Parts: sequence; C-alpha cells; structure tokens
Amino acid sequence: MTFSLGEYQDIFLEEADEQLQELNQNLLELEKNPDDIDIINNIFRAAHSLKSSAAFVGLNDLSDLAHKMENLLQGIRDRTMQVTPAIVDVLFSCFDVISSVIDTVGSGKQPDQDLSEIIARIREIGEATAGTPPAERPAKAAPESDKIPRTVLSAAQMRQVRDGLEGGMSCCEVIVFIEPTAQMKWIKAQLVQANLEKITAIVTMMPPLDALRENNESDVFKMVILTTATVEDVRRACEVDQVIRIDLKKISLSKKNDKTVLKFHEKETLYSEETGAGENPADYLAEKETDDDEEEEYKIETIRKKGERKTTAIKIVKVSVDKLDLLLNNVGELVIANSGFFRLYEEMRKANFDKAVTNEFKNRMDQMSRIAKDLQGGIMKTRMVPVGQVFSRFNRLVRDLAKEFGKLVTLQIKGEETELDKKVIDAIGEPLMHLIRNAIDHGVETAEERRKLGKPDVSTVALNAYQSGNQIFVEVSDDGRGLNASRIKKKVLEKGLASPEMLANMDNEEVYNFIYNPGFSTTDVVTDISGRGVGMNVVKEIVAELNGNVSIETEPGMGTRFLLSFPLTLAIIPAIMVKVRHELYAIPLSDVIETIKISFGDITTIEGHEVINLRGEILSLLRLNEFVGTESGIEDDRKVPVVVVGYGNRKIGLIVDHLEGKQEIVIKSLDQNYATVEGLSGASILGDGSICLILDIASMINRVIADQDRLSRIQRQRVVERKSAQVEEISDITDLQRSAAERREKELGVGVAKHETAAPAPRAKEEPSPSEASRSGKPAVEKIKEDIVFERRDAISVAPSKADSTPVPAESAVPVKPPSKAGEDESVIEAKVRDVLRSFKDELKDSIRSAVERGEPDDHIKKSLGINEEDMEHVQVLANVGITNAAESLSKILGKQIDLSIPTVELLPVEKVPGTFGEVDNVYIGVYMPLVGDIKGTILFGLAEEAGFELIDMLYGTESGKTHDLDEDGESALKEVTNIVGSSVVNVISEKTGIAIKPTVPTIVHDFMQSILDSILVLHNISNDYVLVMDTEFYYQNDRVIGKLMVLPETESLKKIVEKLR
Amino acid sequence: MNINELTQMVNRVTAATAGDGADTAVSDIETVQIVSFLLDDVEYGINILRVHEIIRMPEITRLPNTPEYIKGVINLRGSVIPVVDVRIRFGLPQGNITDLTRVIVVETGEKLVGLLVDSVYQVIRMPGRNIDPPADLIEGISDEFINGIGRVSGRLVVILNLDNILFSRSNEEKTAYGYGYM
Repeated sequence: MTFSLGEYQDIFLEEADEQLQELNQNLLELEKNPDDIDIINNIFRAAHSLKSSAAFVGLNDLSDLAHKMENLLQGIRDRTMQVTPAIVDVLFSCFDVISSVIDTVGSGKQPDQDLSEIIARIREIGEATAGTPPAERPAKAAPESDKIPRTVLSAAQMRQVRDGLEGGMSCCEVIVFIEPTAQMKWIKAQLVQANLEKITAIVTMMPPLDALRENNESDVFKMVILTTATVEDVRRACEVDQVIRIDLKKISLSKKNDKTVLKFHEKETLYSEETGAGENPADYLAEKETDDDEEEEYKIETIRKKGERKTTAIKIVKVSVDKLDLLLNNVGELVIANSGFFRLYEEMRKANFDKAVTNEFKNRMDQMSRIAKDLQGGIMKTRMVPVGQVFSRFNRLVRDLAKEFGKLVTLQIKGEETELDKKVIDAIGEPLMHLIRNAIDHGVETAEERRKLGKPDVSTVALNAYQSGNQIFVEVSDDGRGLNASRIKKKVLEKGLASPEMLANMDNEEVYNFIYNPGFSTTDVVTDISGRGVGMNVVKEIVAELNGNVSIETEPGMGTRFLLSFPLTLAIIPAIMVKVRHELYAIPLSDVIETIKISFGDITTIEGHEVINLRGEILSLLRLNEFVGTESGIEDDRKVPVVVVGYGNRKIGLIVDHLEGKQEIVIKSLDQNYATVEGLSGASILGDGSICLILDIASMINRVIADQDRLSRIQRQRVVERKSAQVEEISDITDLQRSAAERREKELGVGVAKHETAAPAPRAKEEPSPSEASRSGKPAVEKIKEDIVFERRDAISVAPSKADSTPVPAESAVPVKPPSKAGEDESVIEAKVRDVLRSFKDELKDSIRSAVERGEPDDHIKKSLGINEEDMEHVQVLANVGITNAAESLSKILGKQIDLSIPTVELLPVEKVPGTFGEVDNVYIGVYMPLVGDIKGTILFGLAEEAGFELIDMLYGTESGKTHDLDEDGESALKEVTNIVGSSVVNVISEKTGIAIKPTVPTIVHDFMQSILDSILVLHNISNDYVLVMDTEFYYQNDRVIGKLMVLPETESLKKIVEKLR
Repeated sequence: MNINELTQMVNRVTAATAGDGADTAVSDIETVQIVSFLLDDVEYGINILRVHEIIRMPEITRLPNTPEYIKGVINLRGSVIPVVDVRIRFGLPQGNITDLTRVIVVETGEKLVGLLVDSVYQVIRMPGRNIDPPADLIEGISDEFINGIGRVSGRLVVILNLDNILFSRSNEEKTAYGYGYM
C-alpha cells in the first residue's frame, strides 16, 4: 500500500527538496561563518517554509520539528545564543531527519521516523546555550515588527467577542499585508474592510482606517472579526489587488484559572484554502493584550519570503520530463515528416513543375525545417539542468567524511552552471558520491602525511564540469597519493584476473582499468565508506548506462582525476548502422571501440566460442545474425566486418554482414508498448519512417562474458600466444579478399607461386609442420568428437587426420590433396575445399558410427596404431617395473615409507581423460614433464585438487587437510614426486627398449583437466589424441591418494616403443 | 488452447442455440459494440472501446528474441508498437498477407498493441445480455483469450480478452523469453 499526501504531494516534495538544499547549503556556510546573520536568516526561512508546507500536507510532526528549529534559530538571530559547533551539529541532525522523512514520503511510504529525540536535543541545546532564557521574550525586536499593530481590545470589544463566540460565531484576527510599493494603501484597506463587512462583524481594525490614510508607509493592518462565514469566504473578501498575504489567527475562548480568556491560535496563511480545522493548537496562550512579539517576527520573515516566491513563480514553470519527452517525440516526427517534403520537391523538379512554384516550395520547406530544428534544439535545451545542484550536495558528504577519517579536506566546486541532461543529473549523484568517497578514503592523505610530503595540510577534492564539443565532462579530482599501479597489479594477480604475462604487456592505463572490476579493492581494510570494491564498478555501470565514459588520470603522489564524459543529450545519439541480411540494426557509437575486418581463418574456436587474437588480446566474437536469430548473408571466403564494442572494461567483436554507416538516431523505448527485449535497448524511427532496432551492447557483452569467463587461463594463454589476427582497415576490401584467398591456397598445400605475400596463418601452432604433413598418409588418429580440442572446420585439419586406418576404407581412400595448379580459379579451389570438408565429415560420422557399433570405442585407437593386446601387456609390465622403482626412490628420498599401487594401464582417447578423473568441471593439478631424446612426448601426472593437497600433506608429514592452497613448497613437492615417478617409468622404458629418453624439468598447471591437456598438446606440439594412462595410488601410513600418471608420446614414438618391445 | 476444438464447440453451440432467445439471461441490457474479424470460419470480436484504430498492413520490423507470435514492431505515427500475429497466437496455421489484411490497434493496459488479422469483418451492436461467459459453453478449454461468447442473429462471436494477448497470464512467458536466450 502506498502512502500519499494527496494531490499536493508532488508539489510538496519538490518544494521540500528545494528547502532542504537551501538548508544544507546554508548550514555548511554557517559552520564557516557563524556570525553571518544572512545565513541564519536563510536557514530560518528554509525551516519556516518547510514548517508551513509540511503542515499543509498534514505532516504535523515534521512541521513541529521545523518549528522547533525555528525557535532555536530565533535565539541565534536575536543574538541571545551563539552559534556553536554543537548547534550546527544539531541543525545538521535536524536536516538529516527531515530529509529522511521526506525521502520516505517520496518513496510512497508512511513516514515512521521518531522525531521526539531530535526535538528533545533541540530543546536541550537551546537551554544549554541560552542559559537563562531571555529568548522567550526578546527585548529588542526587529524594527519592522512595529509595523504589525498590536491587538488591543477594549472591554466592550472583549465582551462583543465573547458574546459572539458564545453565540456560535467564530472569531478571528485577520492580518492583511499590502504590497509595500503600492500607492494609496488605505484604499485597499478600505476595500477589504468593505468586503468583510458584508459577511462579518468587524470588532476592531488596527490601525484605524484614518491612520492608514495619513500614513502610506504602513502596509499591514489587522482586523478582529466575528463571523459565521467560512475561512475561504474571509480569504476571498480580503484578497484584493496588491494584497500579498493574508494571515488569520483564530481566537477562541479558553478557561484559565477560572477566568475566561481569549486564546489566540497559531496563525494560518490563507493564500489557499483552509488547512484543516483543529490542527496544531497554539504553543502559547496569549492574554488578549500580550500579543506575541516572536510571532510577529515570523510574519515579517514570511512576508519577505512570500514576496520572493511570487516573483520566482512568474519566471519558472515546472514541467515533468515526460511531457518534454512527448514534445520531443512530436518534434522528431515533425523532422521526419519534413524529410518527406524533400522527396516531394525532388519529384516536382523532375516533373518540370512551374519553376516559380517549386522555388517557393523549396523556400517554405527550408524555412519549415529550420523551424523544426530550432524547436528540436529548444526542447532539448529545456531538459538541461545546471550541474551545480548535484555538486552542492557533496559539501556535506565531504565535511562528514573528512571528519570521520580525520583528514582535512576542502571541496572545490567549479563549473556548476554547466548544464546536463536531466536524466544525467538525476543519475550522476551516485557515481560522484562513490568517487568522492574513494578520493577521501583512499586518495588523500592525512594532514600529518601530507606535511611529511611537503604538501599543504588541507587536501583538495575538486568537482568540475565543462562542455567541450558534443560532450559534457565532469571531473572528480584530488591531490592525494594517486593510484598505485603495482598494488593494483598485485591484486589483479591475487584475484586471478590476468596472468603475469598479460600484465607485463599492459601499460599503466590498462592496469588502472582493473579497478572497475566488481569486487576489486586494493585496500586491505574495508571501511563502511569504501573498500568493498563495489564503488568503481557502479560508477562505470551507471556512466555507461548514460552512454558516457570514465577515464582515469593519475600521478603517484600528485593525485588522481576521474573524468566522466557524457553526450550532450541522451535523446539523440550517434550510432553505427549495421546490416544482417536486410535487417538494419543500430549500435550506439559510444559503445563502439573500432570497426575491423577479419577473415574466418583468423577465428579460433575454444569450447564452442569463437575468438580471435586481436593485437595480442583475446577478443570473443559474437555473430550478430545468431544473436538476432537469422541467417547470415556472409560468404565464408569473404573478410567479414567486425564491430568491436565495449562495455565496462570488457569488449567483444560483433560479426555483422555489412556496415551501413553512421547516423543520428532518436531512441524510443520498446517497453512503452511492449516489454524489454533481451539484446535490444530500444528502437528508432528513421527518416523514411521505417523502424531500426538499437542493440543493447551491455547485455550482449554480459552474455558473451559469461561464456568467456569459463575459458580457463591456459586457454586464454594459448590464444594469446598465437600470432595476432590480420586485422585490416575496412577500406581495403578487395586486397583483403585476395590475401585471404591466397592464404587458403597455402593452407591447402596448393603450390601457388604468389604465396610468399600471404600473411602467415595465425593458427601456425596447430598446423602440421611440413614433416608431419608428409606423414599424413601414415597412421593417424581418429577424431571422435569434432570440437573437443581444436576447431576442425578448417580444411587444414583434414589433411593429417585423413587416415587410411579409419574403419571406413572406401571413404578414407579418397585422395586428400586437391590437384595443385598454380593460378587456379579461387572459386574452383573453394569448391574443392568444400568437397574435401564434406567427405571428411562423412568419414568422421561413419567412423563414429562404426566405433559405436563395435561396442569397444577405444579399440580402433589401438588398431589404428597397430597395437594389439600383447603390446599392451608389455607396456603394463614396463609400468609395473617403473612404478616399483618409483616407490623405492620416493621412499628413499623422502625418508618415509611410501607405497605405490600397481597401475592399470590403458590407452585412452584424449577426450576421455578428463572423464576418468571424475568431474570435468573440477580443478586439477597437473605436473607435466616433457620428454626429449629419441622419444618425444610428455609425462603428465594428474591429481584432483584435493588429492594434490593431500599428497602434499603426506609428503611433508603434516596433518591431512592442512594444505588448502598450492604454494611454492607444495608445488616443489609435487614436481619432485612427478620427477621421481615419471623418471622411474621413463628409465624403465628406456632400459627395456634401448631408446634414449630424457625427461626434462617438470611444470605445474593448476586448471581444468581439459585445459591441462590442451596446454600440453599446444606447448609440445603433439598432434595425437590418445594417452597412455596409468592409475597410480600412493599410500602413506593409512592415507591413500590416487593420481594418474599419463604418458603422451608422439605417434611415431609410441610405435617405436611398441616395436622395440616385441 | 486449441482453436479447432473451440471452432467445433462454437459450431455445435451455434446449431443448438440458433433462434434461441434469452435463455441465459444476463441482467446487463447495455448495448456493446464489437469490432469483429474472421480467422478461418470463426468470428472474433473486440470491444470497440478497446480499439484504437484499424490500419492497413504497414511495414513490420522483426523483433528478435521474442515469441513467435510477435510479428514485429511498427511505426504508428512515431510510436513503436508491437504487432501480434493473432493466428499464431491462437495456434492457427500461418496466414497469407492479402489486400484485406489489417492491423487492429488495441489498448491493453497502458500499452498499444497491433493485432494482425486476415480481415476486419464488421462492427456489431449487441445487448450485453447476449454475451455469455465462456465457462458456460466451453469446458476444459483455457479461457485465456476469451471473455465470452456473443450471440448475434444466430451467429456466434468469440469476444476476446485482450489482456493476455501480448503476454501470457502472469509474466512467465515474458520472463522466460527475456532470459531464454542465455
């Protein structure tokens, strides 16, 4: 259920907001200049306005609080009290309470703040400061208070009032204020008197009309009236020209010490209807002759305020942004409709219309479009609001934070008149707050530190705004210690956000960007102000939502500057138009980093995600056609345009069919009439009336990032190690197509004379070396899963995998190499490539099917390698001997009895290995040891993470479960174990076969099993797809740890071993 | 819901209630005006108060990542409004775009929605008591899109409930599609 103050709620909230801002501003001033009476007056005025408007909407508690504030301020104004820090603090607290009440109301809830405490504090401080309270009856009143005549009733008049009241009439005192500059005020008074006489009985009038006539200076008069009329009637009667204010005090009878006295209720201002009868009873009882001076003074204050109000009200009209948006919409339509005339004009010219008529038409048309443009500009401008109102809010924040951290900070504000779109103004507060908090918490030093550094004690945090070109810049800078790049780097490594190699390649600018990562914070101490690492992420996100950008400039020891830039207006944005088939989409230019062209050959697929290496950086790709669910119009052999878009500090490449160009578009929301659609931030209506959808880059990137994050470090590394994709400028399309074709020819082994000019293929690592290529007719391995390790789409992988040992002889006999013929037509080659690909795929399917049908899926591996069961037994024997040796040497070296189980030996396809470890998604520790010498390959010792830790515990003799992390010691222990076990096995193989094999230094990989295997396959250029797996169990005392020892020999090497064993 | 079943049901009821006056008396005697359109053989009606305007088939921009029945969005004098292919929404086979194809722009909630229909048939006046609640006639069929069945001179008109035309009851579908792409 929402709480509402009725129809005036909006007006109240708006006004209250203004008053609060004024309060805040002045309170801060007051702290600096406690003696400035103007400031006190301003605060007083704000409190007073708040009091009236709160009472008006029925927030009586709030009104009461404001009233108490007034009382306190009154004391200061009267100089019976001194402005002390304690008073300022109380006033600040009042301000906080009032804002919280108003916030609650604004959010549609019933305010439930308990105001009694703060009111008590005000009372306390008032008493404490004032001592003996002369404030109650200030001796010296402002001279103006004399203007309002005192109410003096004669005994006869008293009786008249009492009789009237007892007779059921109501009695009140009406105070009428006339515009001070008005001529012949007495005539106004007479008019009021005449009007009132019609509906009331006037008991007395002060000063009397005659006195008014003689003295044009007096512009206030009051009347005590008895009436049966409503307050509204009274008001109407009094409201004549040049009356600026009407106050009304109800007078009622009250018993006091058995005496009947007249009770004066608190005055009401009757500028509008009655504020509801029976609200606040007056705080004071007034004997008829002791009118309240204090009260009088309020009135003077409010007169002035009212006068100001009146003038400002004429100048400013408040309009909701919605209305402006609607107008803007219509103007947009006008501009679009206008463009229709241009077409018409062209046709008129072609049709040889009367020249005079067409010229006139043109003139009118130009005029209209000018007007439409002006109108558009004008409406745009109305949305602009000076940024100062946001900036000034932070005075308080800086004051409080500085106090809290014990730092001396001044806030410098510049460019507050710079205008920003209302939407930006509304949203910019939060990011600025985070930046200021950071600046004060982390940025600036304490006075002591600063003195040591030779800086002035007081640090400066500056807010600045200015316009430059089509952008508005908002700066938050401090003169503190600056960002610490090395600390950020350290944190980046700790969090595993980048590898050391990646960091090494980054300049500081890029390193700073890490602070935008969610959860990133370099401070070890999390305060309740900052350090939780949420802030910068929020900053980036909000700014990005507003199509803006954040950049950092920092100089160690000198300070940091955050520069936020926003487009001048949000309603119209520049965008890049792209096409997928015939569908047009717009990408906001602010999201676009660059546009490039790539060829499909540069794309690598990792776990189904397409990436390219863009200048040493991994760039995930997203095919726009897939995202929007259509076919792509791109042909495979073409270079494709890619729009690199960024959000936050992540970026992706969007593969599109065609780049159409740049255009200014007006954003229209989709959820106004439908709903938010994933991937779309809205729609725009183009000049011809057609609709173009605007892509929501943020959501697209988030989707890709979700995928990207699953790529392990190793996989990233692998892509980074590849050569950069050949990124070309869009303008060189013909050239690029040529070189693409050439590369393809080269990859196919088609001997083309001009291939030297072709760029080296980026996939060099996976491509077979010439020697491998020459072996391609010899035994090769079957691929069960097409996508498990590398992308197989490319024709290049066909050649080595073409195996005559595949179970489908007929298919496999197809010659792989297309006839090489220099200068062959590209399309012919293309066709051949496709043929080869197709036959390869068919073959693959067949082999999978046959393997499945036979029931023993791994048999074909042995078969393809020419290994039989007997050979496997030989290997088993080798393994047994090897492991026995290993156990011996382990126990010897570690001085502990470590037993190893007799391993089971299996030959497995590589893609099955992760499965044998258990969970594919778990992290494993792999220690691999490349083999050199006559046998090439790798020994890999793989352990589940937990098993690895346990083994470390076992080896160090520490309590099981103590190790939770892989530190250097743990790594060296695991390396040692691998070294011992691996070498033992290798030595046995070497001995038994007579082949020289040398193990090298082991390396640790801590990653998903697939990544571990991949990294080995890549790093050691092994093109085989099977592994010799030996399950090994380690026993130490009662503990048992199971690891897997794997031998991954090159095809040739494995065959060599098997042959030697026979 | 299955429109074929509905069609049969309606036909059956048509036969049964033809010429039958006011057996199910609804006290409402107000006259309602219904804009009706035909899809296959069934006449559907929309309360005229909900109809914003009827336009010829405009250029439709496909809206990706939305349910199939969302044909796309159109530009209605500067407003971007979605168009629901009513045939697909009701589970009927896709129709052809002809000269008679119209988009009925209706108001549902705060939103304007275009309904793509084969043709607009007529505007019918009928007393409110001639409209029966759907439950009386159609058992076991989801009344998601049906407000009632109107009887007009021996014909039956299915009076549509437009509230569910854009999204399914609750916002399940909306949500599902919002995240379904992930």
